[in-house]
Amino acid sequence: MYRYDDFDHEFVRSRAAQFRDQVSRRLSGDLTEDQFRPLRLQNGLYLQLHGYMLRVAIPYGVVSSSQLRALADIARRYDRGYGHFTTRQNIQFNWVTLTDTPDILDRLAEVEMHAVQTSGNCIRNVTSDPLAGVAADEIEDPRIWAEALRQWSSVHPEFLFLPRKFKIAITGAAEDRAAILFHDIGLRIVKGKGGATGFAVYVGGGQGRTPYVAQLLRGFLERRHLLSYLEAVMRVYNLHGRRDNLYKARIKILVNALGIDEFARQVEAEWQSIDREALDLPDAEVERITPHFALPPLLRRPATDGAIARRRARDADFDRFVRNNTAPHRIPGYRIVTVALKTPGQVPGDATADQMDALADIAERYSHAEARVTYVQNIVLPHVALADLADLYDRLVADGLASANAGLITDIIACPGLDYCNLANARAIPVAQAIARRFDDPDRAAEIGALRLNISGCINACGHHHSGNIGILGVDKKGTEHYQITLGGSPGDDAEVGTIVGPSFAAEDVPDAIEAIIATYLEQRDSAGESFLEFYRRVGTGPFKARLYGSRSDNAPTRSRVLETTIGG
Amino acid sequence: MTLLFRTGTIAGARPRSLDAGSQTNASRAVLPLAEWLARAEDGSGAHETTGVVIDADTKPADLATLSDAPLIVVRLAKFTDGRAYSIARIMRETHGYTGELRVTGDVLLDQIALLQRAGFDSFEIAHLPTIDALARGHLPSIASCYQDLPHMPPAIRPTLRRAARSATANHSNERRP
Ligand code: SF4
Repeated sequence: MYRYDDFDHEFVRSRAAQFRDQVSRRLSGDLTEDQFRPLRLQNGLYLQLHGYMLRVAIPYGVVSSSQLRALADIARRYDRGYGHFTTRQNIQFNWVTLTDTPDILDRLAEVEMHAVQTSGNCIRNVTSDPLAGVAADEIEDPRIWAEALRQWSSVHPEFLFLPRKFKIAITGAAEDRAAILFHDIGLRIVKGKGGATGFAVYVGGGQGRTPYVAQLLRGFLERRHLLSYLEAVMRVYNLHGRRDNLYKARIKILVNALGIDEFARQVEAEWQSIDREALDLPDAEVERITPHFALPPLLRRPATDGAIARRRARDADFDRFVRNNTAPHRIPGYRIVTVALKTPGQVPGDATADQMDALADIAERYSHAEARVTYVQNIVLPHVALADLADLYDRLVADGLASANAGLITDIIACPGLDYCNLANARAIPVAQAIARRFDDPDRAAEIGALRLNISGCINACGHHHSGNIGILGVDKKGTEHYQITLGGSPGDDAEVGTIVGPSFAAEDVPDAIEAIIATYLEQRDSAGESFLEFYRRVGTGPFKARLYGSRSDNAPTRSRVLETTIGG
Repeated sequence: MTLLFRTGTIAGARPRSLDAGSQTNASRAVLPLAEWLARAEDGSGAHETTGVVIDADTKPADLATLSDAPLIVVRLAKFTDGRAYSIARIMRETHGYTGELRVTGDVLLDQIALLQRAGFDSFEIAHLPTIDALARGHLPSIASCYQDLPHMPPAIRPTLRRAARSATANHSNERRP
């Protein structure tokens, strides 16, 4: 993984010192809250319902054992003993104080971490495929370019006061595991004519109140021109994005107002006018970064293992774990293991300090001291020898981390919602917990199969409800928490925004509604091979509507709700 | 009270003077964009001795016509309006503007170093805590940066330096240890 050189160290230390000075000027009154707000947001510090929240970047999701231990230390010393992994490969501490924050940033700097631009109207933490560098379906490792983008976007003076926040995601694999089409800019490494790799550039995706799937801006961009091209895109957005209306300020609105062709023309004109050679990443820097992402020295291990096979045959839980939570590694004899932070009843994405320490130890013992965080709020151990799987699993069981539901209905994404967030309409965490408990029979979850269920506490969509196969959105209905359900969203290559199925439900009725949706699917699918999403794409919302809102059945919501006419309240 | 804080020539990465204004530009007439453009067209050459003041929403096509002005003043209605930064880079890097580039309006201490890196070299400041801090010699910034822009703090990783720019930009060498 990438290691800081003296220059990077100097940068993060200097940044932390700068923020310490800003905090002291805020406390002395030299800075008003209005003047201070953008500065603290650019250092990841939010003001939430109960106080400050600090969002720490885990750039493109890669984290080492020593970094996990530092995060555990911060959780214990400055928070209430836990942290929350977010949908953008960050970790949030929900109970920090303003005056402690500079010390926390110093502590992070010691382990090559920071909170630079995890918030604010600037280029946010760049996200990527959590399986980068190890996935069997990879064309090229995206982390080299993700790291280049991390550096380029960090305190880039031109792009710190954009019209609105700006999110970039990059993938180098055949399957999109980074939801790049729901980002302001999505980058996909592709092979061009002649076999050289470059980028397909997508623009204008996003969730929020106006969800859009990103559109193709440029089918092939030579690798070496990435930075100059992005400068051109950012400049067009910075100059022409709307600044008069918070809700219309994202680049997706500009792209749709101009049309993708006119937007592309303006970007091209800007790109032609700037000095590309001066702005592109020098080859020497690419060569410096690249070796950081070489595979660790993986000893030859057997590609099949009799003991593992026998354990699978006699231990259904272990078998389920191997089936759901492991994936093929580039190197035979190794597996990629997902640790799902989704034990039914748990807060999705939360990890206690003890669990972070345990993960640090486990990663050190079994995965070359490296882990990844995923946008579905799980942890990935990228280099686990097949022969070590049973030992690893037993260790995870002992630490309460062996939930074998990766990719299933209980592997829920949920934002913090009304329990923490001052923008929320409704709670997300208890709804996630209730659904996870309802479906906690592993055989039943296996029968349902692959399913992405996402929950957001408000239309800002931090819980990615738009891209959930089943999406749940908290809405405010005459002062009560209600939940609107969408169906058919997809985060991947076939990205799609979900469709609202009908009137919203009260919190206590949501598990029943999900039950009705699942029953509809299980009863009517072609075969066990037809996934929920495939089924939905074949039949649309009709059968679900009939079940949810039609003539009374055991699963139908109460009549008063059926009669409500305003969708979403 | 307002203060004109200057960083000297565009080559200077560090503030050099804190005074009542540039000798040449402090008392120079400054016209709104439309009037300045009218002068530029009257053939008298008067626009070459007259400054121009523009807003952050000035059209890129108009920016292209301003290179002859000895002084361009960009009005910043709100410190969060990031367009001023793009305007500065377009003037300096795309149009090769070498005159004084001043920012006025909601100019605050924490943005000065960023505005400098974008290409501004003078700052008209009305915010008292900012004036006090500058008087104390306190100009917060980050000692190092990842973008090899022509106006920058001294520290950049050697492999991030652009060979092309170093070879062509004569003002860049002295600032790079
Ligand atoms: S979706 Fe809404 S409630 Fe949830 S974290 Fe985002 S802003 Fe808060």
